[in-house]
Amino acid sequence: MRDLHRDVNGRRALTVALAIGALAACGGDSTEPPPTTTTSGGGTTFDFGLPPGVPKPRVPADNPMTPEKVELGRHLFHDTRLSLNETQSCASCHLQGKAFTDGRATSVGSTGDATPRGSMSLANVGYLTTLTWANPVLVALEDQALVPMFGEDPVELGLSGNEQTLLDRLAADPRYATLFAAAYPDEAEPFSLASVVRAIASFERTILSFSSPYDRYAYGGDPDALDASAKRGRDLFFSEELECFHCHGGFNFSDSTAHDGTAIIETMFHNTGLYNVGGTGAYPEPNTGVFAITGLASDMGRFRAPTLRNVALTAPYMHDGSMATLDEVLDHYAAGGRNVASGPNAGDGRLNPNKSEFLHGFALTQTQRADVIAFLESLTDTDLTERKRLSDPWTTP
Amino acid sequence: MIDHLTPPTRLVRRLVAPALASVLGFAAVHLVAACVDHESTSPEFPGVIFGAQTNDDALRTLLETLPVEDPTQAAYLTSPMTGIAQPTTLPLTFKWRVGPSSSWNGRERREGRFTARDSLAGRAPLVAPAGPTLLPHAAPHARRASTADSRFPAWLHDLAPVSVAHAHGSPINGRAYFLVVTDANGEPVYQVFTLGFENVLGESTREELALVPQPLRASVLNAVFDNDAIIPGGGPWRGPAIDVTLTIAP
Ligand code: HEC
Ligand code: HEC
Repeated sequence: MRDLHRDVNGRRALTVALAIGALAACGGDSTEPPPTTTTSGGGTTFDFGLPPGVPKPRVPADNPMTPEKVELGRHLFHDTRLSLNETQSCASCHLQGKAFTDGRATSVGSTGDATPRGSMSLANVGYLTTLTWANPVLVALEDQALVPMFGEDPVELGLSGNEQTLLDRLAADPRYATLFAAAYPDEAEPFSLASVVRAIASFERTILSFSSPYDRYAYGGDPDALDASAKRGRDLFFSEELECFHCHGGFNFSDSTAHDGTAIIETMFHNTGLYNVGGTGAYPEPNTGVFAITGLASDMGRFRAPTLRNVALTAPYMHDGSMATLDEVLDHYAAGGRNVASGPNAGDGRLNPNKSEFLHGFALTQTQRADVIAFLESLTDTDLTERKRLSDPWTTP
Repeated sequence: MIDHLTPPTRLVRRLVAPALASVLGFAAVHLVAACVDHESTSPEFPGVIFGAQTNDDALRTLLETLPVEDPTQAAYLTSPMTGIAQPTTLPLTFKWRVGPSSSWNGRERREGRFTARDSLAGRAPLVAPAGPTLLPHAAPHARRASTADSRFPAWLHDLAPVSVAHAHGSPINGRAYFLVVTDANGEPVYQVFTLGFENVLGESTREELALVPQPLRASVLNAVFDNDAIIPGGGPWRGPAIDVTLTIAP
């Protein structure tokens, strides 16, 4: 019976390596290829500061964690010199106060380009088996960091063709001279693109969120950390009636989660019946989900289930920010999908042929609805949003 | 009510729900039953009450994994007070929390509760093997067992309303607790696997437990689960035992 836990919609990771467009743009001759291995082991001695019973994130063997690299990564993450016109940093679209999202339906890059999808929380990003909304082949944080830096469609940080400008800028700052030397003591030329992305990825692996009231209750063993409503909401969330846990299960509330020591890495994508343009099963271009990468009809509208940790801070919701509130999200699940009545995207998502079997609809009383929301709100971790070690080091030392 | 204890109905429910849905028509909604917090049993662990959102796969894992010693992660019973003797007419609730707490009796802790004597390892198995009889001490005295399937102890009657079994239900995520009460000989007489922090014993259970050799000894084993597997570094941790004597009021 356990196999019923597996979404028939879920797919194992594609083993074929598909080219990631943005990566091509950054393979300048002067830089060594970025690290891509994701084998574990590099994190064994690093202290992630995790509470007992929380597993460590996976760390690539060729990018072991060190406090110095993390501190360098923190500086780079928050540094607007990482965009060509020096207006944006990673943190411009990943704000600590919003659990590292930006509060927009879709983001705006340094030159005004809109991204097709919304920014994502970086909380516990080190545990994810795939990165971004619907990309089965983007699996390493080291690779992902290159996308906003060098991507041309859309332009985010706008560094394509300007690797050297970036490295020169960084090398000119005495603060970086110290930070890079400390992070890469064995390297003759610490200022390289590989060093930049390795440091950023190391910093990202420390964006950990395990201090919510829910964590104190369900993991810490403190019976008083949750109120009765959130406790009832937890039971509903993990019930067969609501089915949420199938896709948002586990300690990270996402089925695309693995940790140091995980034997079988699963990557799962689901069609949740948000769209059914013209009754064809289509999602609006260019947000067709995994289909955009594989071209398989059955992958239309399949997206990764995002973590629900800190979800009260990460509105608007869904890949295109098309739901403003958690109430709206619950309406969608309760109806077993979304019926878009009019406009260019009109169509009844409830009838989408690719829709997951878990989206069958349910009815909640007002109290039960409030309970589920109370539970989701109990996943808010103010330690994450206030932790000094994750904050902007250029404004707060 | 006892017939509802027939084991896991998850598959049945998965078949019934869509059928019901089609009866109700398109986008049919199935009402979220109020039963999500019900308790149930499993044929594999006949003496164990399964709390909401627990299942026998996880309990098997818990019992097959060697416990780790860590007083900071053990669950401490904060109620009742150890050493207490009380009549069955008084309510009895087991409550616990992780880590030494102020309400925990400090004197008992200083006296070294994590001793070999308290360790449940090497004592009678915590869980009676599956079989036609369980709770050998309690069952013969079970007052209401006559109406029920004899495989189920009378104290299950206290758990009203027991309906859908969750023994194969949703996977466990988070910390789960296994409360084990043994009689004076170390035989398990009452066992609960739960995600919660307390367990209330109904009157018939108290009466039944008063008939076994006293004092009763209770402790909680806990571990942190992720989809029914114990997380690396997630225990199990065994908590110290407390003693309670139940007396039959004259
Ligand atoms: C212009 C806004 C913007 C900037 C700048 C930006 N990001 Fe993002 N980030 C996004 C958006 C939008 C997504 C979702 C991408 C998608 O699926 O299309 C995302 C996704 C991610 C993800 C995937 C998270 C997950 O849950 O899978 C990571 C990791 C990430 N960004 C890191 C970074 C880093 C590191 C930088 C700086 C080098 C950066 N971002 C700069 C907007 C931005
Ligand atoms: C079949 C798998 C599946 C089930 C079941 C499921 N979700 Fe989701 N959830 C997803 C996916 C996939 C997304 C992203 C969809 C998209 O953007 O296209 C998502 C998005 C969300 C979001 C928005 C998160 C964000 O950061 O934008 C919330 C909130 C959410 N789900 C809550 C729930 C709740 C509550 C339930 C149970 C009622 C539930 N989900 C059931 C797969 C699932």
